[in-house]
Amino acid sequence: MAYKRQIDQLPIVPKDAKEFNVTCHYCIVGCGYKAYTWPTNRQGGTAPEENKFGVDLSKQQQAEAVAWYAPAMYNIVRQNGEAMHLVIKPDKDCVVNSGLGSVRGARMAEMSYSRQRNTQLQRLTEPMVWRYGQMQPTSWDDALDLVARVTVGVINDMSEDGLFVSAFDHGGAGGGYENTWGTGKLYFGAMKVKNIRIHNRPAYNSEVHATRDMGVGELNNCYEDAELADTIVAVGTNALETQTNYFLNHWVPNLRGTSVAKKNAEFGSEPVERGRIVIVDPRRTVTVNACEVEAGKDRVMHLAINSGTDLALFNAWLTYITDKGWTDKAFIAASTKGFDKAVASNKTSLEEAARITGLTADQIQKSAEWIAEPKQGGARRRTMFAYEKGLIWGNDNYRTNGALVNVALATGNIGRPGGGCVRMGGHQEGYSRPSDAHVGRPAAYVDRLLIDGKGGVHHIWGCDHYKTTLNALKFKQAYKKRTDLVKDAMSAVPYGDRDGMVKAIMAAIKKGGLFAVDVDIVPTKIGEACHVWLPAATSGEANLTSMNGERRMRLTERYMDPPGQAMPDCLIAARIANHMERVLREQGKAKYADQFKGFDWKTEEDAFMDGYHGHEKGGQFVTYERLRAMGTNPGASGRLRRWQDHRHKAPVC
Amino acid sequence: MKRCQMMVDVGRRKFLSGAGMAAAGIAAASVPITQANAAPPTARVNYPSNRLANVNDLKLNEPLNVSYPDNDAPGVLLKLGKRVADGIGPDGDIVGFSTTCPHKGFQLVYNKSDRTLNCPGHYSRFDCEAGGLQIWGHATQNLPQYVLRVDAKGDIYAEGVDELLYGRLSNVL
Repeated sequence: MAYKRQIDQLPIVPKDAKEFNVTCHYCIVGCGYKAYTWPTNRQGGTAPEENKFGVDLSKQQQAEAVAWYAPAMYNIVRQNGEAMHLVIKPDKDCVVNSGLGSVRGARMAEMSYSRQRNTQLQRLTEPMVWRYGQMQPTSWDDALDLVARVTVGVINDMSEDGLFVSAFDHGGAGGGYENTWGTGKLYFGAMKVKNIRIHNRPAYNSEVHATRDMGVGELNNCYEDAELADTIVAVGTNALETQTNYFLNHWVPNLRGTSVAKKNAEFGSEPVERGRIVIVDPRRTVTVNACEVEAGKDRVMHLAINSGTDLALFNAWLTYITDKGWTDKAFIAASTKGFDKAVASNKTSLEEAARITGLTADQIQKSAEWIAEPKQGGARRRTMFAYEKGLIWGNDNYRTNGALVNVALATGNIGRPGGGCVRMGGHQEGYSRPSDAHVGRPAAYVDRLLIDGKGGVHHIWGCDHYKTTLNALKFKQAYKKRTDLVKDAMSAVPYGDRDGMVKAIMAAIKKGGLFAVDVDIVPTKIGEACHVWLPAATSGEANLTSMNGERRMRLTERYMDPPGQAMPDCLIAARIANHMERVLREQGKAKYADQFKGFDWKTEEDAFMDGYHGHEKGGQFVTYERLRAMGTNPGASGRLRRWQDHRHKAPVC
Repeated sequence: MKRCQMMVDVGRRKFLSGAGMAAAGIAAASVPITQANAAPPTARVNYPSNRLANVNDLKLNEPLNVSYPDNDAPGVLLKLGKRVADGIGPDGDIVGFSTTCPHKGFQLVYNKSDRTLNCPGHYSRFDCEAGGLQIWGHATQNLPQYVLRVDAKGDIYAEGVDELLYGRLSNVL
């Protein structure tokens, strides 16, 4: 039977409740929300002057109401030590979602740490260390002293190459400009760590090298382009489920034809009509179904290709479009090199592609027409290409990704209204770090090196190899064996004997052991093997800046306390740096210790000002004050589309 | 609730010493007390018992439009032809639901073929044979279902709702 909460009323947000800007931290779309907090002993009333919305709440609210929130949007949390009511509801004025809430974002309040209402109690709240055979709580200073001494010890023995790091590189929860800078400044600034990997892949590399090597950053349009396109080409993306409000608020209006007025306003006399969509996916997804419902089956083409055959399809498109003379010759001349060579070397006939993909030659030809056949009067067709895991997590990612970008370039659909060749993305972005050039290419295959017994200390930030790496069982077997060596050594020393403890750990490392430090918001699977757990704060428990899939940068304000002693990752990184500096000075290594200066941050805003504000192009114009003032809507769409101005340089997932 | 009048030891000793009692009495009386004059609120809202229909009004798998707990809250009664949990009536197959989508408040449409309520706004779907379980969609609640009762004459009464209705912060306005 269906679960029912048996909740039939909620406290009303009073007129004087505090209001905070919130961007949903769960996915790349970054829907705008507002958080409201007020003391637990107070509540608003139904009269318009008694509630935050100025609405008569004694009346039934209509569809898409501003003044309604579901039980999932309510909780009781702590704010500056006091218990407070919390409501987080979608922001109707945010142009990203226009008040829509997904099953992720619309549960942000319910998914907050609350001891009053017993939600999310699995959080890490105190630093924990391996002591006498189990993880036990301790102070930050004690835990960080141990981390610093062992890390410095390993670097003394093995150089910085003995320090292995797994770290998030993204925005949203478990990331953000503050925290990628904090970890980046520690590992790429103070040190030059090269054995480092990203949260969801075993090396420090891009998921979309090809498009970057072609000079096309993967987030190169804005969400409004989906409303303006003549045709959307969706490859390996199930947008209704995974970028829900982007699809509902920006794709659907085009498919329904309700964005035609916007097209007329933007393109003047150019012929425009309701959009079409080509979906490349071996599965018939709910996205395909929704597109057919909205646009009609005659404007939706579902190409259910054989899995892993995208490359042949894209090359057939390129060949057919070029043969027909539908390419954008001026754009090609101005913005590409070696185009004719690319066409020649990728030549694929409709029949050959049909044989490989399992489609018919007619389907491939018709879809090429939807992509590139000039409109009435010879106007170039505006086509937006969107791709995600179905493409990039397939084999032969590099060539497949490049082949799709080829079609977008051939048809002049990069950096133009109604165009773009973009990742749909996973989570938001928020990359700001010193150069990673020393990592090299190909980047070290970190998980393989760990299996092979390399490295002496491992710092893990918001990653869980046990659940996500390749060959996970083998990794787990090797990792457990290595970390158990250290655990057994630690258990044999009285915990108060720090000198003896570090010596025992270092001796175990020399025998092939590995000392592991896990920074996370919750206990993880790989954490079971670790010797230190450091509790981190998440979005809303700290100020956090990120950008969404159209590079719209926003600040989620701190509206509640982190649980226990948890801290933002940037401050944890800073405190590790402080302790490493102290230990190095103790050891008489003053010159090396000096590299760990500049981590005297007290708040996450300090990290933001040092990082994004101080180091990114144009960052000098971005402050918390300005981001607060711009709320959930910074960045006019036209500016977002001119992506060359905002060249995205992050490894993305 | 009455305050406990029994004196603890220290107070008793003071009483026996004959000192302090009068002063204590004055101090207590001097604290002004604001009397709460609001009606005592209930933990949950009080629902009306409203007759929605008679069992004879229902046809198999044909939704009957009703409203509950007032005319601004549309819903349906359904005779599913199959005994279901929380179903009432002689065959245990009568259920009632709000038809306002708990995602964004659009009116749901009944699909006879799979006995679901479906949202034209954003495609959410709710299973009427499983207590309004959201099969797919964006709502953070399952569909509010009526607490129903049938009397000896076959009259069907609604007497409660098990989730918050869209568009109201109290199910009874």
